[in-house]
Amino acid sequence: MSLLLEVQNLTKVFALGSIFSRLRLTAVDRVSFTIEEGEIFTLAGESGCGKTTTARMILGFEPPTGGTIRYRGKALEEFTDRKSWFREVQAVFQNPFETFNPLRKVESYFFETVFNFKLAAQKDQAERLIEEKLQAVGLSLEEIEGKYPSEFSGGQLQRASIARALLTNPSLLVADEPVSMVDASLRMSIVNLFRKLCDAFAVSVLYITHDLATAYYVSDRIAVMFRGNIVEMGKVEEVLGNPRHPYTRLLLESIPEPDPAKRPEERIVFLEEREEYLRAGCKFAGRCPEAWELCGREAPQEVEVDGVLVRCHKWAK
Amino acid sequence: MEALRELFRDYRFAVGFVIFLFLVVLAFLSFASPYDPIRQLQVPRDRPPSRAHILGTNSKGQDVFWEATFAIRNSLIIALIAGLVSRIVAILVGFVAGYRGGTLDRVLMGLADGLLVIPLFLILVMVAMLLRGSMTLVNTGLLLAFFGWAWDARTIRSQILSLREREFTKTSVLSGNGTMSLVIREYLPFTTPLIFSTLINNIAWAIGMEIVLAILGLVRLEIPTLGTTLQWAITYQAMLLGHWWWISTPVVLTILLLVALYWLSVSVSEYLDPRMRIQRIGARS
Amino acid sequence: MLPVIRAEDLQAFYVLETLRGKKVVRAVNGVSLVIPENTVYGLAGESGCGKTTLLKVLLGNLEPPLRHFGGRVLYRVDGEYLDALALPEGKRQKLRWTYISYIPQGSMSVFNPVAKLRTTFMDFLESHVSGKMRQELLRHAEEHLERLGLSPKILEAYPHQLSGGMRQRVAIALATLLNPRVILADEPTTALDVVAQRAVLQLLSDIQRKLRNTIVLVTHDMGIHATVTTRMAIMYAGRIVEEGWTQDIFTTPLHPYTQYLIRSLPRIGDKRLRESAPGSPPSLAQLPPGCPFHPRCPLAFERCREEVPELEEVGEQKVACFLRRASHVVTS
Repeated sequence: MSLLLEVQNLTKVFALGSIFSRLRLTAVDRVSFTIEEGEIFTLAGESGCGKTTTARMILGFEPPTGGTIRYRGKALEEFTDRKSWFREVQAVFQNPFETFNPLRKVESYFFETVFNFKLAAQKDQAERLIEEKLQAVGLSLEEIEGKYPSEFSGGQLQRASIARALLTNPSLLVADEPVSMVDASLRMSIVNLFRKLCDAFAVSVLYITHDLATAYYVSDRIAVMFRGNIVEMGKVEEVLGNPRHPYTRLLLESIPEPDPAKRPEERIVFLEEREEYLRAGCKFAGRCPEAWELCGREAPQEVEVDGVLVRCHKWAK
Repeated sequence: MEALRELFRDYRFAVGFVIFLFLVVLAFLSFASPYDPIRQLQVPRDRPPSRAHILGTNSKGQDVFWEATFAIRNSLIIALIAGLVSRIVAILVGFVAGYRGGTLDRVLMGLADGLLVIPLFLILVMVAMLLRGSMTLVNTGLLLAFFGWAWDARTIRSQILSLREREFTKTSVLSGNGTMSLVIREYLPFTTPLIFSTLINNIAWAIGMEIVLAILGLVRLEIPTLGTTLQWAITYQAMLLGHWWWISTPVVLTILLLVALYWLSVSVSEYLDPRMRIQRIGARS
Repeated sequence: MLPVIRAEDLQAFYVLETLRGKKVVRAVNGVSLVIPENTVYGLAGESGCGKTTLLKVLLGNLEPPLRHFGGRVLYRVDGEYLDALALPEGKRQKLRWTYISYIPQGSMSVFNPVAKLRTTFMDFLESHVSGKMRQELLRHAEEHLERLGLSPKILEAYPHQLSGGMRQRVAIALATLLNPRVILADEPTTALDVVAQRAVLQLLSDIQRKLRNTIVLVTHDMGIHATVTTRMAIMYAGRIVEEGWTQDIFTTPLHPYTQYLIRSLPRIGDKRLRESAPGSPPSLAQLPPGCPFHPRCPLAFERCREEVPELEEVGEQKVACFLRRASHVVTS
């Protein structure tokens, strides 16, 4: 396997407030990870942990404040135009009903992609290409022809969105919460689709989610983000099967287990922490059951424990 | 044609359209006029409506009916120039400011705000006074256009701003669309109802404004428009002397025109409303 | 267990006037339910299955274009049954919040965004409790918050100062202020993160345990049903397709739809392939004939395409499926 995407010390700082009271908020703080060819990598965390900002920077929708993004060794800035980047990196979004303009036919996005990227010269050639990708996600051109987004179900639209992203034969698909708005009875079919595409087309997937159960099910490696930092990263079986960081453990304990026999006995402490982003030291120290004096003072460094990267003082010893 | 058929189902559109068509036909009749619109004393003065002069004649010795056809034509020309030019400016400014953002946005919106804050009527009167001699149809139209774009540019900009944040913008960018095709393909369908309804409203505003300027005597009075016709009728005390046919003609025509425009504007913008359009698409399935 | 709410063959449809004629959306299409006292009752179903509409009807909140086409909703107030949909408006208003209350999906809409929470609480109390002093009412609100483990200091905050999870918990506190016998909660945790969600669920079960009332919890998330509900019903295309003890439904789901829902749930520590049901849920405006699930059901046979199965008892569960009838012999 070879390296596909390399993200190094990626940082995004947002300035809040007026010119007089500038509050600098580090939404993404020196995040580094790599994605191998043909793997599904999950970036997991709660809303506001910086996972979507990271995705936006990888897609080039947001300029990073610092750090580098490399695709097969070539930096994002070296891609002279957006198009050559989007030929390699495509995306699928959260809300299938918002992915396509409600006043335009869904098929128009397919033909635009084909002609804008010069993937085909003639209409029939384009149609063949589109049909091929639609078949791969379980749709057909006949099904989508002449229809507007409101005539589809959420599941169908999400499939169409994936098919459109595949048109340029990208090597990386960024999927930002792709199933959180899909109906429960269709959700797993979309998740399975990512696995299938990964195996069939050797597409790597950056799967961004708050849902650890599907993350466990579909991905190879996972990085758990908290308030702009990656707190734990490694093989999904290791990280979720044997969580080392107290935050990962909290997340795992909070998931409602689909088994009435295993009701949670212990109660969680729920703290209002709106200012965690601005904390010095470990951002999780405020509600960490194992925090000691050092945690509030000094930000922990990443350490490797059994092949898993953990950002916690407890493991640094 | 499907669109027209659905529009005609709305009685407001049907009525507005028929009235407007009638007025346009009147305006075109002016080309067949047997009289010169500017020369005076071409016919006997102050005659009530008769077979020879269906709307009578005025104190200047002109036929009221044929004068009115010129008046409608000229008023429509002024209003169309004002409406179209200000629309073009509003669309350009709104789209550029909304999509580009940053410094350009601030400069353009500063300009628009400037125009909105200063008492428009006062400035209009002052400029018209200075330019009175050269207030031809085109110049009157351009002057009104200059003051008519600011508010609508702001509205268009705010709509573009909210559209820019919608997810399909990203899909379009990922589909390889450049800025121009993105704006035209994705955003224009959403702004057309706004552009249409503001166009009609702006035309109505320009017609009213022209009448105000004419009554104040700030345009070239020899060119017949709805405003100047009214101005002459007032100057010659048509009301007092019982020449009702002279003064009521521009009044009735103006009311008809404004009512027709209002109904057209309401029904068209309702028809083009994206929510209604999506619902229509839904009804098809 | 005595019921607090009984629905008998309820039918409520949206009648929409479109440019191309009338469109009837059959959102609640013959629902019969018995919701018992002193329990957390779950209602599961995906978006567009009619669960929010069912809540509206249970509340007696029928506004056009939603129209009542048949059936009854019975409230058991002081030992006797009242037909909620036939009650005079004034009487129904009285029962609202004291007998039955409602937590809507987005909690932000409950509060006045420019007023302190205290104002919202006081306005609410003043319009529902008569003959008490302001001071007394305020104390009541504070005590109530304390009882639910929330700090009374919250009353001094503005809605936007609270996080989503906290706001949702305050909305729940407001809905339970007058000790209603039934609380209808519509997707109370959907917009929340897992940790905040856990806290809201914790609060809901605490309330139920303290007030010994009934909470009807509507959510599409089967995990939540497994964690907090005692009994539950599964809704599909405007109908209840299965009903029973949550424990039983998770161990022996009877309806093919429920089976898909439960078997497709991913679990940490298990990477085996999960299949979801083929196809998509039908549009409520164009329901297929027969069982609404038959186009997606791999076990469907002739009768399913022609006849609508009624909800019938099978052991302790109820299920609307011909496959589970005693008369039907499973050959496969």
